[in-house]
Amino acid sequence: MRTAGREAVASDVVISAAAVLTSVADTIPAFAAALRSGESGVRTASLPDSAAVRVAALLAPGGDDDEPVLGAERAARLRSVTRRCTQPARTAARTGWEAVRAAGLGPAELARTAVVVGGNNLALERQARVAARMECGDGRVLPSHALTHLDTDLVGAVSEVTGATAEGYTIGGASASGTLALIHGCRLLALDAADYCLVIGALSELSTAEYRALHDCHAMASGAGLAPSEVCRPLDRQRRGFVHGHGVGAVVLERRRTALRRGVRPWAAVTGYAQRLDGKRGTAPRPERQAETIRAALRSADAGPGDVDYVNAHATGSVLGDQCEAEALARVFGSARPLVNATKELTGHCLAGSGVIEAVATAIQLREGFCHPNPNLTDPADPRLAYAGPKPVDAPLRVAVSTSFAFSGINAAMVITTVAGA
Amino acid sequence: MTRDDVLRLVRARAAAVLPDADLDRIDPDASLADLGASSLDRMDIVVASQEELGISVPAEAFAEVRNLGQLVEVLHAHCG
Repeated sequence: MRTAGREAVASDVVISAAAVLTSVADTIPAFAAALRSGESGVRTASLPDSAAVRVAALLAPGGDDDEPVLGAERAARLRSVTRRCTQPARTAARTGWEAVRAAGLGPAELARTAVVVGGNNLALERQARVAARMECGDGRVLPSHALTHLDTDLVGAVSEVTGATAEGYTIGGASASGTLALIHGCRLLALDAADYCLVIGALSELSTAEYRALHDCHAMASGAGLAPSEVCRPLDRQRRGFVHGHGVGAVVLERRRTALRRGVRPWAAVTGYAQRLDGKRGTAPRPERQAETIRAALRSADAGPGDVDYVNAHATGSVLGDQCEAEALARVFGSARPLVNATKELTGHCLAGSGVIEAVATAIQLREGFCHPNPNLTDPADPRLAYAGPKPVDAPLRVAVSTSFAFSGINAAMVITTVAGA
Repeated sequence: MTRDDVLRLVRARAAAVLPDADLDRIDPDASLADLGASSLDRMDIVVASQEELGISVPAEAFAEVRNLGQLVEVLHAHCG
């Protein structure tokens, strides 16, 4: 029985496989270890002075070398399919391929696998370089730019490399893109439009212009005067803004009964979700709308605030954003006080990629029974919340909420739980 | 600039666009499609070669081009 305003949710959706590529890890075991240690991927970045920003959590040197993880043969195939692709497209194809392989999907399953890429305006650095080269050179551009300038080149690259050929597209919601893509994947399964969904939160490049604009609008930290690993401090009183990260997350979603039939041990279940708009253009968050989004997600999961053990907060380290989210969480959870942490302290803000990366981080913590530390959260700005804090907390987590909030008033939340018997 | 100079230059552009192509097979009789080039790859090779040669050849001049040798011929004809 549906009640007004309540979303019909495919409560039987599970995450059956996952893969990541971030500044701190390029495999799931490495990511689990990085989460447990609270390792920061933030480094001094060689950006032009005009960017006004000195730090970022970019892929480690050799991050474009696919061989160590994929092996020579698969790395060669990836290189061949993604030739002259943008970095977001190559990394999406690589990470999506890892997830599909981990899920054990064969040709019959792949024909029923949808490709949902979360992200928009992805290859901004490449776009800026193409435009600059055209201005400075003799006005020529490689004709392949006709394809590579499109975010949807990721869909083609992922589909060719993985063999997934049900429906596919990008879902754009800026920093909430990854979570929006996950929600869309759950809906596809609920509608029986696909049996499997490969959901990818794509790597988001920024060019000098975006670094500068995000810095000058007080969203991004410059990194001046601090050790790189100390710049990104979500939810801490001394936070100065977010730090950009390069990262991709990929998961395979399927119905619980499909996973059971295939003999797959799922990572976690997605039992509810919600998305709400602020009804307002701009960058300023609205805590009451964020709170409404989280409450709607909980309602769709048939859960209450007291059922939640853990919140993977959107918490970017931005001064205003974190303050508003803390307010929203305090309003929703009150005295229930679930553990709260922020994965972006470790990975940086991977923008479109972050929703899926954080869903994977949440699934790992649920499965392994710990809450990852935030070493820079030494002086919490809002004392109403229960933070994991500087050391990892071992705890039997069952129900988690992961939030994503984007410019333009785009709010999203998911309820992710352990899978009984998994 | 001799035909051979142009051939060398086009080969280098083709190798850059097709990192996995067998360089020894990039001979004048080979079509770029045989080397694994898509239509987009072929256009990138043509434009990048012109850029390096500092020439601009109208697109219709390539209408009859079927292999690397013919491509080199058209490009060479437009070199001053």
